[in-house]
Amino acid sequence: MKLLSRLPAWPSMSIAAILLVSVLVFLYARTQQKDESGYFEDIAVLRHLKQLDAQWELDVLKSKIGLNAHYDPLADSLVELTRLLDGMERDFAAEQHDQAAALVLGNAALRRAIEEKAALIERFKSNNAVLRNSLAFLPTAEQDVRQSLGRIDTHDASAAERTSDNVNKLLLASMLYSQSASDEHATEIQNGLRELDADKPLLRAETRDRLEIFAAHVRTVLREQRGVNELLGRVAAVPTAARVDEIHNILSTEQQRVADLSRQYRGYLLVFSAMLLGLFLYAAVRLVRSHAVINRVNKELHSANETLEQRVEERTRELRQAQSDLLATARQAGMAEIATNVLHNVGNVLNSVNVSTGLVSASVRASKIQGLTRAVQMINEHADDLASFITQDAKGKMLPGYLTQLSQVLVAEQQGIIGELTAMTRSVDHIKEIIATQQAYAGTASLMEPARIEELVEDALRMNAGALARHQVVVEKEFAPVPVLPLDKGRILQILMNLIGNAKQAMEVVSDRAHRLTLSVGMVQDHTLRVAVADTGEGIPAENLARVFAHGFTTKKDGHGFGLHSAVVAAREMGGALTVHSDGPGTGAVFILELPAGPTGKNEETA
Amino acid sequence: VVRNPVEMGSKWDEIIRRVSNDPKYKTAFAAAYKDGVTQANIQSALATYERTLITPNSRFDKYLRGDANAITAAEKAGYAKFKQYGCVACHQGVNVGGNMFQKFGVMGNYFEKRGNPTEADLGRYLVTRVEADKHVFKVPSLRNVALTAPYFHDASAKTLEDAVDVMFRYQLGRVASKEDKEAIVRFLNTLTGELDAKP
Repeated sequence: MKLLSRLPAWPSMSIAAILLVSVLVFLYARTQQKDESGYFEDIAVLRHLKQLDAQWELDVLKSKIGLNAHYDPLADSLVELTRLLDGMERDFAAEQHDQAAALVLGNAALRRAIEEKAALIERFKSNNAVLRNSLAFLPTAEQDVRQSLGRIDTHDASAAERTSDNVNKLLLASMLYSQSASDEHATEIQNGLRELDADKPLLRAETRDRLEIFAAHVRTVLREQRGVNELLGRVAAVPTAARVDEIHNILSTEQQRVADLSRQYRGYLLVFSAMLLGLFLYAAVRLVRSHAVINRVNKELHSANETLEQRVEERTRELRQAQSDLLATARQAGMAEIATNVLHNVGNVLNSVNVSTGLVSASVRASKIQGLTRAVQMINEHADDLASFITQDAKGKMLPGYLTQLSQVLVAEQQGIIGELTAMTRSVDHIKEIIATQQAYAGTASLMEPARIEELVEDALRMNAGALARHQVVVEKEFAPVPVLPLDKGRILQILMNLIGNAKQAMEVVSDRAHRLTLSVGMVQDHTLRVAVADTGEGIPAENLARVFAHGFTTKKDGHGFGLHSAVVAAREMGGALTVHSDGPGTGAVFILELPAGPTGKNEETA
Repeated sequence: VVRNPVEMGSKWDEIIRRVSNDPKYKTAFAAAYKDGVTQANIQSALATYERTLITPNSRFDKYLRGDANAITAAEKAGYAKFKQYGCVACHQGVNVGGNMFQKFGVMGNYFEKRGNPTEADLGRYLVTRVEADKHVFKVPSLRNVALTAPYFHDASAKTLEDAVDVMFRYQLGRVASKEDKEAIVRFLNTLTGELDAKP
């Protein structure tokens, strides 16, 4: 019962199952959501960026001290940096980031820093190129000046000497200044330049020009070295690395958060899984228990079923017994009915036998045989004078006449008695016939023997003859030619007796019209024998038409409800049918017995 | 490339405006492209132009790759001068220049001497508007330099010799002998690539 009551819960159970699975999938997805490779890629890019940035700065320094012959590495670094920045920007835009805005800002800041650095480096390149060129040229220029000083005799030897010294010092100071740009060297250089200028007017034009070139380059070194150093400081101050670290931090925090979240969801997933497992175990326990219940119920049902079968069998047997009992009863009832009729008829005939016996005994008792005895006595008294007595005596003279009369009377008497005895004999024969008929039908179950249906109908009528006569029933017979058929005479007679008896009773209560019983016999389509018993009795109400054949149904005061039922059962046993038709109360009824005539019916029609 | 600070450091609307303002460019673009001067068309034109610039395998390239006989002794001497005089301080790298900006007139005021200053003389300043960028120009690559006369932004140098002369005076602040200059010009001629050898 538990299982049955749970059946309608299936939809809700499946919904619950779907929900649970959804939660599971959701939790699982949450633990898997963030692909860490993206993070590590970004970190790798950031490292690369940082490294490139450092390399860039290193290249700048290399260029500064002349280790790099040209600036191509600087340009290459910027190209690579820009490429990485663009790639990272695309990544940030494409990937799912909690702090996308911060990342984009960080990226933009880094880009600005790199652009700033690039601009500074660009200027550095210009200044450094000039600085390096001048530095490289300074020794040559110095040599040129000294050559000029030495080759041509000056008109002021001391000025030439001082100039040569100064040039020398300036060259040294410039070189030192290019190594470490200290203010001390700068002042030294400026002092040297002033001294050069002071001596310049004392020198020759050619020397002056060369000195001019030298001084210009020294000034250039002074100027550009300052610029380059300043630029280098600014380049180093550009916070590219810091910007990279900022982005790194944002990414790390984000990753940390994601990892935390993932861990959290993993925890949820674990708890949820444990819950599911519990549920599963619970369900399993329930299932096992249900299974036990089912088994038990099944067993009970099985045994109940067996008992039921047994009981049904018993009941069936009882019913069968009851039915056969009933049939026997009906049969006996039918036979009793026949017997009643037989006895009734026998009684009628016995009446006439009684009458005849009475008459015979009365006529014998009043016989004139006494007169003969007295006449014989008178003759014996007058044996010796018989002749005289007859001729003379008065009495004797009357004797012959008396004897003649007496013989006449006795003959008449004898005639009467013989007549009565003949009637009695006939009555006794009649009784014998009636009994023989009854014996012919009683006790012979289902005996098919060739018979004429008309004879059976006549027999039935004869058995009911007395009763029919008593109720002034006019019997009409409408017999069509019917062949000899194999018939169960006992059953048919029982049915006909029943039907005729019913008809007779149905007409008893009718007094306003003639009592007519019509018996018709005929063939329907050569294979069905049809016997109809129609009466002009009280008829059958429509509501009873279907019930008249039911067992126990009767409208008679002393009826038992077996008659028509056993009749219809008998008809069915013979493979036929018994039907009834009535137009309603007061219109009489027709009972129709139809029996299979068999395929041989046609052949025997001529017989 | 046009906007790249390493190269031009310019802006597109500025470029389009300038190209459109030049009647010669305008008619040329109108002839070559249906919709005249646009960013896409300028890019296309530049790309077409630059394809002609990819001229590898100059004699100097071959020399650098180890073919000692690719350039003559005189040209080798010119290369030595090129390095010795400090030209290589700016005209450097794979493209012999083109990887930096430099002030025109480091060692002397070129524009004052030339006179008649124009807006174009301001150079990179026109783009960046930074005072320090006045008279600063991109150092051009010297590849194919023998084929690209006249020289400088104002086309003031008609020959390579003139250009080398100006460079010596205003950029290097030095005097060089005529022979040395000729040697350098000879070297510059080795930078002419195989024009037809397009990839």
